Amino acid sequence: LNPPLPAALVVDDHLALVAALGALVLPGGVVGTPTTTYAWQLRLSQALVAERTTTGALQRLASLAGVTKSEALFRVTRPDPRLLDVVDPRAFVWDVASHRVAHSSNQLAAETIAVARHMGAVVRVVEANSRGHLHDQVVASGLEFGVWRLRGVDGGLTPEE
Amino acid sequence: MFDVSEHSTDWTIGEDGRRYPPRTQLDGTPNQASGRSRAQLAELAELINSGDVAREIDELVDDPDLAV
Repeated sequence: LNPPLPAALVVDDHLALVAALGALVLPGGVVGTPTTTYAWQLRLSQALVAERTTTGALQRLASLAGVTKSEALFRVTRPDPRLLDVVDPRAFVWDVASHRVAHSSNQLAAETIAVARHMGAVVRVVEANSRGHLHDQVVASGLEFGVWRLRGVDGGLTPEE
Repeated sequence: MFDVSEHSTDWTIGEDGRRYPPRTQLDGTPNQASGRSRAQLAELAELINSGDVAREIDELVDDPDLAV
């Protein structure tokens, strides 16, 4: 489920959010700063921007992390580059377009694959994002795909061993 | 290949071998999340692991190009 590190990481929206809030504690083998794609950033930002009449899970998450939902949105849209790197999608437009045409892939999967390939990175997602189109596309591309269940440690959240 | 190590020196390696992020953001704001109690962090992890956040994002982002 979790292929061995060391490697750079391309992460999903959940792990990107935790990283942007300065609370992602990385296993020793991870190289560099956690990286995500524009598509994951957009997906998360869109959800954070959406108005809700009741308290939702994202608002609860922000509250547990000690920030407001709008502060979380600020951290996700303008992340501290030491905590989270968001790759400019324009550098990968050829790769993304080719993958979409060849594999009937959506933007989220195609960008994840293009960025991870360029970086020589592994892909890590939370359990809830570990099944479906993205999983099928990433695994079929030959990239290492792993799932992180998180647990609390002093200073943040880290994957269970 | 990208230079993935550009900012990695800002992280601290703990005695447990894990890498810990800087305690403040570049603008000087404290990383509130990293300063939460173990109980709050455990609850945060549980919320993420439960899938509730993912279900909410899926509901709010109704776009096949951004679907997992």
